[in-house]
Amino acid sequence: MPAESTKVFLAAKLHDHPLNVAFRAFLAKFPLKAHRPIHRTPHHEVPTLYVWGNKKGDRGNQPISFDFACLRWQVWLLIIDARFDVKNCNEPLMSPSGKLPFLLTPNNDAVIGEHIEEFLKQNPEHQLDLDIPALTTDEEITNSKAFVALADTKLRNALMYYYWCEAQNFEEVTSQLYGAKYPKPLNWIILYQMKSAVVKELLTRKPVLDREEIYQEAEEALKAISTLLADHDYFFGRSSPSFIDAVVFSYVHPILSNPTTSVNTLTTITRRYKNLVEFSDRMKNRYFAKTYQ
Amino acid sequence: MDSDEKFPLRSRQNEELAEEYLQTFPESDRQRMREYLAAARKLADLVNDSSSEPFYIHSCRIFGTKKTRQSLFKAVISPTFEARTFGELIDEVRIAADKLNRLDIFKYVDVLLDACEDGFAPPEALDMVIAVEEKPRYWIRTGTEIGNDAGSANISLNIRNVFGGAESLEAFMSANTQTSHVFEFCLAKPINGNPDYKIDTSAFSLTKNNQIYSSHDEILRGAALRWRGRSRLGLHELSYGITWRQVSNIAQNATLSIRESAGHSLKSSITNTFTRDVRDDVMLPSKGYYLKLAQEFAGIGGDVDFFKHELESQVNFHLGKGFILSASLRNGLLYPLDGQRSKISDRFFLGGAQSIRGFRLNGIGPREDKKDSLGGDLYVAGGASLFTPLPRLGNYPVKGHFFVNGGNLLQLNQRARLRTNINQLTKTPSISAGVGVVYRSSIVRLEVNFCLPLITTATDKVKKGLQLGLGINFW
Repeated sequence: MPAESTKVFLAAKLHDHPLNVAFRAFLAKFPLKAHRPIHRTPHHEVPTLYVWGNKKGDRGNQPISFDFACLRWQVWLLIIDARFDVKNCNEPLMSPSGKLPFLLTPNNDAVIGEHIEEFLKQNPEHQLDLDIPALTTDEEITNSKAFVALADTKLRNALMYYYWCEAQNFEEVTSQLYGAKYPKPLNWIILYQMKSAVVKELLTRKPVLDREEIYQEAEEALKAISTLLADHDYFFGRSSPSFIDAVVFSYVHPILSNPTTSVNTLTTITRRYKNLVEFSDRMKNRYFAKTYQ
Repeated sequence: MDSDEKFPLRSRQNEELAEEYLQTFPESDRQRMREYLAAARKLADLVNDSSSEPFYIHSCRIFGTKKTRQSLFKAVISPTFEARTFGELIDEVRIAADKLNRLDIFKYVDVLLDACEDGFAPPEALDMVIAVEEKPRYWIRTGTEIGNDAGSANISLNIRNVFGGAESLEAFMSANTQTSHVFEFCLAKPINGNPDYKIDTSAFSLTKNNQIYSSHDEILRGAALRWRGRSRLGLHELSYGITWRQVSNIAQNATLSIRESAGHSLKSSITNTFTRDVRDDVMLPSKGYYLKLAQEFAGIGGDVDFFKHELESQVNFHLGKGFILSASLRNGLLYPLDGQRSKISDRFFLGGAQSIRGFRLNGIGPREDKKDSLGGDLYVAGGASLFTPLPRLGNYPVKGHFFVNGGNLLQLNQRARLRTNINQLTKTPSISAGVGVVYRSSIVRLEVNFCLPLITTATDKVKKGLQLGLGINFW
């Protein structure tokens, strides 16, 4: 008999030894008594999207996130009619990536980015309806991809620059949004940490952060998007929104809803495109009207 | 401190102790010691007899200082100039020399009283000559430690007598196998050259890895200003500290409450601590008691407001024949103010080989999904241990150990009254008992116990059977 199986055999024999069995039976009697726990484990019934929500001075739960990355998922989940809750946590450290948003499943799994949709697809009980926003023609799909990419570079750069690199906005607007949760002077330390991360990210895409150039590119992008939308309710003349609507709304709405400061170039530019302003209101009424009433 | 301890020459009690101690020496040594003692007694009698003679210090000379400032000596020896009789003078000089010694900046301190050199001085005038040698200013200590389940290496850089006033500066760094690290910087200064009263300021940064029992890391950065004093009753400490706590790196499978407790918080608090420790040993005491009371008030700025109280006590009885009975009682209360909920960084944790045996590390108290320990705001813990001599091992620091210990940890229900909360605490304790062996080495205490949890809460993490404990503080 090989040595390995001898060992196994001996172990099994020892395991079944009456003394050992009796000993285990004795141990199994303990603890003699177990109290019921007092602490109740909190639990989410439905997946919960953790987002940047309330700004300084807001009471209750604000329905629309001010952060474009969060708003994009919030609107997209509404479009595909997913069953989910929104929680304004304002704390990126809760997320596995260190950035909001993330979706916390009822099993306490934190999922981010594309995995959110994947998770919803795999769990049909979340009543996903992916047929409504599905694009039909190849042209629409290609166009949608191109314009989403356009918005994700030009509008995103401009919005990030607007929030973090305009000194006045940083102090008057951004600090009220992203630093609302923290006490002084911690809020400034954390804000400057966030700012340096944002600047680092911008510099990976643009070698020089030129204010005029960034806004110029944003204006060109807005113009192209405005032309694409034309006088339709939603992109490509559809009766209901698709992914591109979610993306455009997630950039246009934060821009339009920012308070007027002396450096509101971006807001002024965007207001010129009447159809985009109307589109933003239309989306807001369609998906957030309920919560506003 | 009573007066006999301060002035040993006045007490005869020491001689009895010495006599007892001498029994262990060979006859020749004993004889020599006796002669020495007789001479010392004669000298003491002489001093005692002449204690009321008028004498005073006329001048003082100090040799051997390089860095130490004159003001430090001035502060320490000024009381000796007040003395007017020989007895007083001897006492004051003794106190001053003792203080200089305890400042930990001199290799030795020799004090000599001599007839006055000044020809015009009256005959009762004396000169005091202090000869010292300063210790080296820079020193480095390195070490390794093995804790509950991690090894760590540390290095500490020290500067003694930084500004010549017996200030000490320490920079301490420690790195752990489990990503945690510590950096601390501390500058301490005795007040008025008195080693019993110190003021210090420190800054620190440390990372705590709490992944095993509550799925997160905690980064702390802060600064504190502390006053420390030793009185007849014990050690007092009053400090103000400001700490930036960051709960981060939440594990993928963390429970809901842990994930939601991620974030930054700023604590600004005043802490008052009182410690009285009259045990004969810290690790395995055989007699004496220990009492520690701590109160903390947070809410002077920052975003956490609470009042925290903690009491730790231990009493040991020597039963004779190597039997020792030890009992301990601890409790704590964290009361959030302004309707806040307590934060995980401030809460108490209970359980483990050094805290309550028979349970895993932080295994008692509120827990989610049988996994993450949340900590509690209210706890009580108690234990009794009987240490017995082991046959044939009487000369070794090894003892047999029987114990019963238990406790309970709860989150405060702020809607109910405090009394209701405390009632709840006493209603559902977790208790375990067991036997084992305790070994006290020169640096650490090691326990191996066979534990049986008797009563538990369903969510507790128990440790049935053998449990190993390695550390310094055991309850």
